[in-house]
Parts: sequence; structure tokens; C-alpha cells
Amino acid sequence: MLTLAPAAGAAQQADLDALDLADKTATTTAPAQDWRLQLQAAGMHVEPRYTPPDVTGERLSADFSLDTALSASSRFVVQDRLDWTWPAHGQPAEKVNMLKELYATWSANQDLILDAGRINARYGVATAYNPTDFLRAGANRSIVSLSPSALRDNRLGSAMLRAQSLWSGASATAIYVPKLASAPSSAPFSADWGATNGTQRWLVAVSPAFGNGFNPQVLLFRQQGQSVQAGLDLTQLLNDATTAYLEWSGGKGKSLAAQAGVARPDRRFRQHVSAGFTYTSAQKISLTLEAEYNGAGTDEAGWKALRGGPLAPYQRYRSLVQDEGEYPTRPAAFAMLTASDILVLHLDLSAFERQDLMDKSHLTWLEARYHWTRADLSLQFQRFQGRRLTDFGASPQKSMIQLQLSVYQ
Amino acid sequence: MKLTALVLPFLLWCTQAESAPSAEDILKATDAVRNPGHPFSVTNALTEYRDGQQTGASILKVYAKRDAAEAQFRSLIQFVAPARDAQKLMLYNDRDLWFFDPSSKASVRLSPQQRLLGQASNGDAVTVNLSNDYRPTLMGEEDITDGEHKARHTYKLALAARTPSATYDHIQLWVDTGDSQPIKALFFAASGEMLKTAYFRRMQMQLGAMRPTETVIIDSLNPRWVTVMRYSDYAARDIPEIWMQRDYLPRFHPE
Repeated sequence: MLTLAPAAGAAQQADLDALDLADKTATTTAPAQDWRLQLQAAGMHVEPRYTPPDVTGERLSADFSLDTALSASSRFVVQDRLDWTWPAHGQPAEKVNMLKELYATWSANQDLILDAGRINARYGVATAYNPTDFLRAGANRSIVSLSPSALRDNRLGSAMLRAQSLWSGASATAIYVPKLASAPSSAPFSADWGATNGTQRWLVAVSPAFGNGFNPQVLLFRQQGQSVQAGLDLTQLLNDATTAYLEWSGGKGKSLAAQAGVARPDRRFRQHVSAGFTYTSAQKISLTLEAEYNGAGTDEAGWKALRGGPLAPYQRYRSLVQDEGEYPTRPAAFAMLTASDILVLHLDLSAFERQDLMDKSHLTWLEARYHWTRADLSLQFQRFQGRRLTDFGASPQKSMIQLQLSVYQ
Repeated sequence: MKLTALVLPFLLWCTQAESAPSAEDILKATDAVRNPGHPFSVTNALTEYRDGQQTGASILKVYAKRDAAEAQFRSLIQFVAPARDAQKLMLYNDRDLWFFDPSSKASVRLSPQQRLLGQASNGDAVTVNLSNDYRPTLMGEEDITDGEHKARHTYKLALAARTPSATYDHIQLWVDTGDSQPIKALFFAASGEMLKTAYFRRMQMQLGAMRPTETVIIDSLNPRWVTVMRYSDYAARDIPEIWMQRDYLPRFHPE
């Protein structure tokens, strides 16, 4: 018997029970595999903003990835996703394939690695708005959820040549993105080089080593015909429960309205900022608050003029903003709450709110997700609220409920 | 006679003082039993129970390397199972904790409180030299029963956190006086609340020493919550310095 104090008899018995349980535990092993497959089936109920009645649709998706060795010094990577959507029950299916990544990598030596092909090179430390994610423009070909994590998962990489050098605690990366096509393609199985490689771009990222957990990243980015943009990513652990982050980019450039041709050329220095923190309680509840600023978005007067004017310039502006992965106005805020195993074991609850602080429109998103060993069942609700032609009030959807089953292999 | 009565206890005290190791030595010796002294990899299979029923299972591949300057281990953890989490990575470098998801290619900084492993703390799954993070005090010797119901004569150590990277505020640790094997530990929060009990079991010859290959963790708030961590596939291996940084995570392929 365990030699514990008599008063701790119950604890002693609990310890014995636990050790008996451990005795009965089977030894499980599984080799690490180099591929992943996720299958999804979803049903959506959409409340349209302008054209009732409500619409019910369905979707099937397959997401496959492979990252395998070709030789001791080279690898091959592919990630592909196919969304097969029936936007309204009984109507023909819409197919969208996303060749997210397809590249080969070669290690010249342990410290220098070269890559060529379509690569999802993602930068940024913020949760929702990433001004240093310079290669995000045109990347979201098929949007199945507006959650920041889904938008990050389901995006195209850019065709590029990439060289990365790594040394103790630090790295430097150089990327060249060539122009391969002039316009995006809506063909279902198009690689859509025009969406991600419509213009030449260069990017350099350096992560110096300062120690003590201070791990900044400095970026320089240039797109053909535009000025160099600088970027900075900072994160810091504030205490055992809180991490803080700051993401900044800045450089000379035109406003989004001028780029869309709905305002006079107005080239000047502009800044983009995303700053926030994540606090996690002992009960596994995490709260993220993020303040965002898009210095290329329209100001209050410009936004009012665009919303009050003819529809064509407004639509041209919104289309460009969406393609660029930007916000239409300047100040915005984001709050997210996640909780794991909070009511029932294996049930995760998530909620976020995005607020346009200029026109006061907002997006509310809620999710309950139950997970088994190889499958998740999630119920998502999203609602766009705001006055006519505001940031979120212009969405053709008023609200959507989505029930989704995901199976993992 | 009088001289003998005075000298004999003194000689006995001297003998005991020479033979009893210091608390620091005991802790270092048991660290050496738990952790190989060179870079290595090990598979950690976690099984969780609530009320006697299995509620979760994960398999992690842990790559651990001692920091040359601070002598503490840094760990790179690759999720192998469940399939939902396969190929995700966690880099544990002192208080610098990064999580990488291959689906989004996103590296996210985590706080120590952000748990990814159910009831087990991140710090429970990685390799830790307790002598780096805790100041030990020898509380005495005790006869206890180990996790395999065998009698053990042990040193009882009280460990107090001395670095911010320590996962727990203080720990009580029982170490076998003969072979320095860790037997049992109680973990406490700064408030004094007991958080969990751990039994170190299944001693096996791995990488040149008899090491515990199983830890049974019992939640103190609800002793019916049990986590079994079973270690296998120990291998000494080279772990390049460049692996232990955020920017290498998207490229991590150990084999």
C-alpha cells in the first residue's frame, strides 16, 4: 500500500485507481505520415439581405496535402483543395479547385535552402488583420468561412523563387515573385496564376537573434511600379497567461480609392497597424483583442461620398479592397473568445466580432465545434450588421448558419 | 570512556555528513536519470482518462537538445496523432513558446497557460532539467511505495521555482536513495493549492541508463482525471541548432 497519511485515504485510493488504469493502458504508436486529407460536408442556410426568400445550399470539400522527400537534400510539396458547392438547393454545382501549393525545395547545405514553385509564404503575427502578409493579395479564391483561421487555411500561394539562410536563432529570406498572367481566372480547375502572379514582386525578411524571447521580424517588400514597403512583426510574452503583438507596415503609396480609380492620385507615406494581445485563463478560455488601422483606406468623408454616389465606383472600390485582402476604411477592431472543453468534454466554443469603427457596421461569428478522434462537427453562425453600403452592411448575406462535418485521415 | 562518548557521535556525524549528498546533487542525479545528457528524440504517447473512461489520446514525437549556455533543454514537438493535429509543431525554448500549423503556415506565439495537450501542461510533455528551474531543499528520508507497489527508500526534496520558466511554483519530489530514480512528485501553484500528483514508472534501460518510461499524472482537483504519458523509441540523434527557431518550423522534416 502507498504510505500516505490516514487523512489522505481517499487520495491514496484515487492514486491506486489511477495506477491500475495506467496498468491497463495499451501502448500505442503511429509513424509520422507525410500526407494529410480532410473531407468536409456542409449544409448552409442563408438569409439574403436584398432578395428573399432564404436559401439553402450544400458543399462538399476535399483538402489534400503531401510533403515528401525526393532525396536526402530535396523535397516535394503539394496542397490542393476542391470545393464543390450547390449555392441553392437543386441548382447546378459550382466547382472551385485551389492549387494552394506546388513546389520543390532543395537544401544546398544545412544553412541554405532554395525553393521553386507555388508557395504559401505567409508573414505576420496578428490574429485577424496582417499588414505584413504582403503576398495575400488575390489569394482567397474560394471563401467557405470568414473566420481568420479558415481564411488563412484556404488560400493560394504565389509562384516564386525563394532562398532562405538560417543560422543560430536567426534567418534571412529573399523571395522573387514573377508575373505569369494578367488577369484572374474563374475556370473551375484553373491554377489561377493571374490571381497571385499578376505582377512582379520582391520580398526580403530578416529575423535577427536578440535572445530573451525577443524575436522580431523585419521585412522589405516591393511590387513593380510601386514604392518599397517596410514591415515589422513583434511579439512579447507579458506574463504566463498573456502574449502581445504588434504588426506594422509603411511606405509611400496611393490610397485604395486612387488605385481603384475612384479618387485623384494621392501618393504619400501610409501606415498599416495591427496590435493586440491574447490572454488565456487557467480554465482554457482565451480572449484576443486587436486594434487595426489601414492607412490606405478611405477617410470618413471619402467613404461617405463613395457610399452616397453612383454604385459603379463603389463596387469597383469594394472589389479592389477584397482582392487586396484589405479593409475599406481606416480604423477597425477585432475581439475573439475561444473556450475548450468548457461545458462538455471535447466541445470548443469560439466567437469573434469585427467592427468597422468608422461606419459602425460589424460582423458577428459564433461556432460550436465537437470533436471526435477523426472527425469534427461544427455549427457556425455569422451575421453582417450595418446601414446600407457600410463595410459589413453591404454584404449580400444578412446571416448564415452552416453545419459542417469534417473527417481527417 | 568519556572521550569515546564524545568522539564516537562526532565520527558518526562526520560519516553521515560525508555520505549524504546535497539536495542539489540528488536533484542533478535524478535529472540525469530522467534525461539523457545528449540530444535525443523520444515518442510520447498521451492517454487521458476521466472517471475511468478514455477521453483522449495523442502521440507526440519530441526532439530535445540541451542549451549550451543555460544547460536547460529546448524541445521541438511534432504532433503525430490524432489526425486532426498531425504535423503541427510546438517549439519550447525556455519561455519562448511557438505553435506552427502546416495548414495555414502560421507560427503563433503562445503563453505557457495556453495548453494544447488536454490536462497535461505543455511543460509536462517536454524535457526539463528540474535543477535549472528549481532550488532544492532536502526534507529528509522516507520509505514510500512506488507506482509499481514496491517499497522504496527515498530522499524527499522540496523544490522552489527560481526561474520564470518553471512550470510550477513548488514541487515535492521523492528520489530513490540508491539509484536516483524519480519515484513520485506533487506539484503546487503559488497559492499553495496542489495541482497534480505524478508517479514515475516502468524503469527501462534506455540510452545507457535505467529511466522511467511512463509518467502517471493525477489531477488534484479531480483525481478521476488521469493522464498516462508513455515514452518509447528513444534515440540519440543530432539536432542542428537551426531547428530551434520559429523560422525553421515550416521546414521541419526530421527523417
